Amino acid sequence: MKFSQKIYETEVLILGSGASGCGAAIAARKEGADVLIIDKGVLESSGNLGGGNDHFMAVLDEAEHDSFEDMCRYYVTPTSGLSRTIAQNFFNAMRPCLKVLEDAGIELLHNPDGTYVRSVGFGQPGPWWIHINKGYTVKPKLAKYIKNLGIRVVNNFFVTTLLKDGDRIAGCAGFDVLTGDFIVVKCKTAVIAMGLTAQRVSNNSSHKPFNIWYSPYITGSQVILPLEAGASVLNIDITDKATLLPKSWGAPGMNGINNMGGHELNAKGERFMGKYDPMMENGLRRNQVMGTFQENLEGSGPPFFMDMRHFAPEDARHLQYDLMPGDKETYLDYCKARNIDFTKTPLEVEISERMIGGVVRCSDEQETEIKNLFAASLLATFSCCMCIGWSAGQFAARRAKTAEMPGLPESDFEKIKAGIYAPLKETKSKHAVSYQEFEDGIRQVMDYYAGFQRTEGSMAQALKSFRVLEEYLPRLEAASLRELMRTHESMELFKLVRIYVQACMQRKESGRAMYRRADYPERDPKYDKCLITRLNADGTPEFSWTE
Amino acid sequence: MPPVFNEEKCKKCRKCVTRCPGYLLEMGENAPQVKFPEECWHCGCCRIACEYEAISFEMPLYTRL
Repeated sequence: MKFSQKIYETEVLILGSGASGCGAAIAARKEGADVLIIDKGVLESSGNLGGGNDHFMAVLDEAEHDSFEDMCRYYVTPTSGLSRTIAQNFFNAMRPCLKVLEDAGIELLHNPDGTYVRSVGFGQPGPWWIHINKGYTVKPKLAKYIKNLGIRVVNNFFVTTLLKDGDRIAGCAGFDVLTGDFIVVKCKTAVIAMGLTAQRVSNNSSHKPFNIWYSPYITGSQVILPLEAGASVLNIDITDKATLLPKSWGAPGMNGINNMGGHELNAKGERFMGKYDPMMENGLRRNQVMGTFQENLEGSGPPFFMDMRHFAPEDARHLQYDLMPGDKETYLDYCKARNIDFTKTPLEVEISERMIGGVVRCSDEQETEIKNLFAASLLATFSCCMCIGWSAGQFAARRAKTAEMPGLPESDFEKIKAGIYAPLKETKSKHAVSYQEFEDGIRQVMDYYAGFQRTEGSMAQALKSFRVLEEYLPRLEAASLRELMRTHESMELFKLVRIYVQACMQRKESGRAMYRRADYPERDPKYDKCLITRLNADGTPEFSWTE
Repeated sequence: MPPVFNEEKCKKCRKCVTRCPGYLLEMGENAPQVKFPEECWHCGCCRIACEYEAISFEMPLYTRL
């Protein structure tokens, strides 16, 4: 198979067109830069935001506990990896981002006095979560706004390598998932905005790896690409997330349920979350997930339920018919199939699959350890992504004004191409392993040995099993470009889970992540710091700690 | 939960095919076909893109269990 080569050139390259990338691209363009945004998917539907979103978090100095200082108390912690200055970047971007959303025609809900309809969520002190109507329209509307600004878009582009010129970013390389063409982008500066967490590393009760909470097409580029280019990444050991799902159905929506006052019940009909968080269901999501897990261990479930029957009828209607479909457009189809009515019966929920990731280490100006490469996707959720992307885009655009166009490492291109196309075979060999079989192996190991409860011994066993999986890597074969895309995703996931398990073994405590170490069940103040991961020349991870 | 296409309403504009973030759809003779149903995230991006109300969703068995 022969493929052609395309080279693009831009001042500012935005890697990833989800919420973070959209924020970065718009901000960079508003600074006057020539901007190119790329994604493996399509701008109108890419990223977690492709499925919609029902809330946008904004600290606005309009209510009690609604100041920058309140925000810092929540976000700037010894293990967040965020400095006060980055939190300030985030805060400063909130109002400009809200203006963009309103200009794009996204329906943020207002009270009669003109203020936003907001509620408290995620254990935060203030009412920071603005309600969005028809949240499933957010991405297409943002895409239209971006194109109208004159931002260039390259869809269907799977990035496999960050390119460098000495110690600075020079661009990226990869392939078009539809045509197979080899693509290179050359840039003065870039923003990496490819999603805080990767999915498909764990199963929920449906054992359908694409039937999950966040976008299943995000597989860890945000962590793996910078690591392989020489940057370090923070918090791979604790950037793992989970939630409660409507039973058997991968969808978000718990923010709306919790912050409007849903009660979680166990199989005995007891409202139990008071044992695990002083703010009950509306506390830290980690406490809700791990609390539900504990009830499960003790035999108080399954099933588990979220009960909204005490809501005022108009609130239950707003939640079920406005907010929930905003977070996933097909929510009402699910309700219909299971005869769900929030006013009449509790919603059965389950603990979700887990996702894992990391925070690219960066300066207060969000520059990574690779010169001219700026980091977004430092936090999850629509608002955090768009706002922190916004500031990364501003910094990248300002640097681009004085930066020279780099040279490209053209002598590396043949090696990069060989790596991209290696799994592609016109006829699969009889020893071929499919990406499905390989990935099922990843999830089998992760769920059994590195799940919600684990020990040093179980994680060591996970690493042994990964060594078996590693033997199968050369046998991964793809018979089409689509399979080639999925195969590269599987390989990326495999790199990530191996680093993740080793990272988790460094933190000998519990209480900061979506897992409990049975051998170290308590939180230890000694670990009030972030784990730093970087790769050695042979690809093995090396760990150290922030001070 | 992959989409179901109404062949009478579909105008074969291909918007749903290009919008699908999972690359799951291919254009058939009368309407798109879901080639990889097991990889559908049921995000509804295809239905949001469709101007002809030609797309509906039918929950698979596992979502009811």
